[in-house]
Amino acid sequence: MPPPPAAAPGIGAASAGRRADTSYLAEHLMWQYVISRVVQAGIVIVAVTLITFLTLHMGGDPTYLYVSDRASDEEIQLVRERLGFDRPLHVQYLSFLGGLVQGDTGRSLTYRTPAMNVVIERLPATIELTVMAMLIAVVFAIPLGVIAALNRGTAVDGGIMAMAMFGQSIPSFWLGIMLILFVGLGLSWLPISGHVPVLEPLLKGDFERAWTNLPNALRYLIMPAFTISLFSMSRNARLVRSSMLEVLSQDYVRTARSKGLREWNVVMRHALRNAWMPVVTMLGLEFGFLLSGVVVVETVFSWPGVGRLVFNAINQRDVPLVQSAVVMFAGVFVLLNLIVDLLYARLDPRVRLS
Amino acid sequence: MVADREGVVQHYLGTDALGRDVYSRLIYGARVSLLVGFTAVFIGGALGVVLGMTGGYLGGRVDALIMRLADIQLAFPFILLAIMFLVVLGSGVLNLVLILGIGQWVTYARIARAQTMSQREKEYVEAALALGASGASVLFKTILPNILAPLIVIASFNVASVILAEAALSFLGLGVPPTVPTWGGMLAESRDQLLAGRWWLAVYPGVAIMLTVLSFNILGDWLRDFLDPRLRGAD
Repeated sequence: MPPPPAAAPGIGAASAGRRADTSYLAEHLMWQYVISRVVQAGIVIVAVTLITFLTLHMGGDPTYLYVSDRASDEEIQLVRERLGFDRPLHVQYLSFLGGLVQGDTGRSLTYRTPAMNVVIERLPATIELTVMAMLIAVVFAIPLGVIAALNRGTAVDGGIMAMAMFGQSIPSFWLGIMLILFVGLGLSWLPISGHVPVLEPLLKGDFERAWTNLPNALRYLIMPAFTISLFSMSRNARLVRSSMLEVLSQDYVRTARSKGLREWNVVMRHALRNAWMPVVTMLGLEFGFLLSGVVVVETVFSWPGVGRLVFNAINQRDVPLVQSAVVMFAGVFVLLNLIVDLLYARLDPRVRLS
Repeated sequence: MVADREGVVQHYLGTDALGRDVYSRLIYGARVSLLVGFTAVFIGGALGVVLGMTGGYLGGRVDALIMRLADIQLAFPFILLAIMFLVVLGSGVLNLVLILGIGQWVTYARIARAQTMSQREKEYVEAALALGASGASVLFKTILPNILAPLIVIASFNVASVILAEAALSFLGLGVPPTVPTWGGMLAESRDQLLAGRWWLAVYPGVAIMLTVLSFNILGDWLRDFLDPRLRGAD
């Protein structure tokens, strides 16, 4: 987690003298932290747009992406002027930024419609997949890590850690192909591709359809979600184990034991609560990992989300579409990290004091 | 296994849809993965160490600027950046190595910075400065050898993750040209062959990637315990 910048504008500094009680001070620090984090997120978003914009121009004149190979010089010049590529770079950037604020990132070369709309249409399917993957990554990792820590040095610990090591070494798209091959085609347990929407009818207010779709949707979700989550699950299990080991050697755990509490209570109520904080910190960044996995895994399972859209856009050199997806992903990523950081500061006062 | 009429094995791991030997393609595929893995880590490591040490040693504005850049990069899912660069600039080993290398510098910079800051005040650094050594000489000849251990450990894990990233990008068709065999590229081609029952095309390249990545991960774990026991269990 990036450390918060030291300097931030003082909030309500004028009234500080009148109300110098501690609750006020805590609130003041909280606000200072919130504002510095929001400013930081804003800077990152601007940097992302700048990088996205510049990459388009790094390959030379982007006009050539929009015209066919046989276009004459006059035609090329016409397209260049129509798309505004003849203007100075900073003017183009400002107009790109201006368009972005209004959700306009240019027209997709293949769909011939505004690129951002194409991306937003595919977003619900990707969110379903990512949320499910995140759930799997956390729900399985915590018990595995705890069990490994409690059985430190035994075969159980060794087994879980070896599995985690494998899990971190398997390329996700290959795992997907193997699941399709053996679980899908070999055993015919689960469908190998396709998608049943739940979030989309939900967003349209059609609760009934969302509810009836749910069981079937889960069947389609299991394999791709597991594929994306295996890497994170393995890493989280290792993280929980090492932080659990650290917590178990703390004085307060010894005190809890010496009070005569049952081991279950000691582990669940005293140790685990503190041990899974590092995992909470990772959750925001986790989302970025999962999003990166989405592009390849959606392609493998023909999942109709943003990831496969990006893959197809890559193959067709549909730069505006790739740009829109990247800006969208980065925006969601920055926003989620911001939320996680703020929640974390709310939960753990030490964060905003440091 | 494919044998000829006399029963002599010709293709140990079979052939692909075009009749090319899978085993030889696997071996040639190792070239790209290892070349890209090592070079990208070297580029990222060199860049990160120089920037991180400079920031840690000088402090102040230079340091703040470098760390701000690192924060920005961390706040951006890296693979997306790589995809965008490669789509616009075109794929190829050089671009692949450059973008993957640039993607790694933050990790090294952060560690090099923290280590340099803790070493800066040590007496041996003071002694080197008293002997009239220049800033650059103190940084890279005096301090660097003393902070190398954790960097080597990170580099080993990093080779593993770069190889995974390279395979993913090759799988997306953003790696080296399709005529050059790569493990990721072989997996991409195998997708169309699954329903035709050619399972071996999908299994072996994946096993190759997994074993390579696993080896570097295990090496990293071992190096960490060996070189720097303080880092044990710190992932």
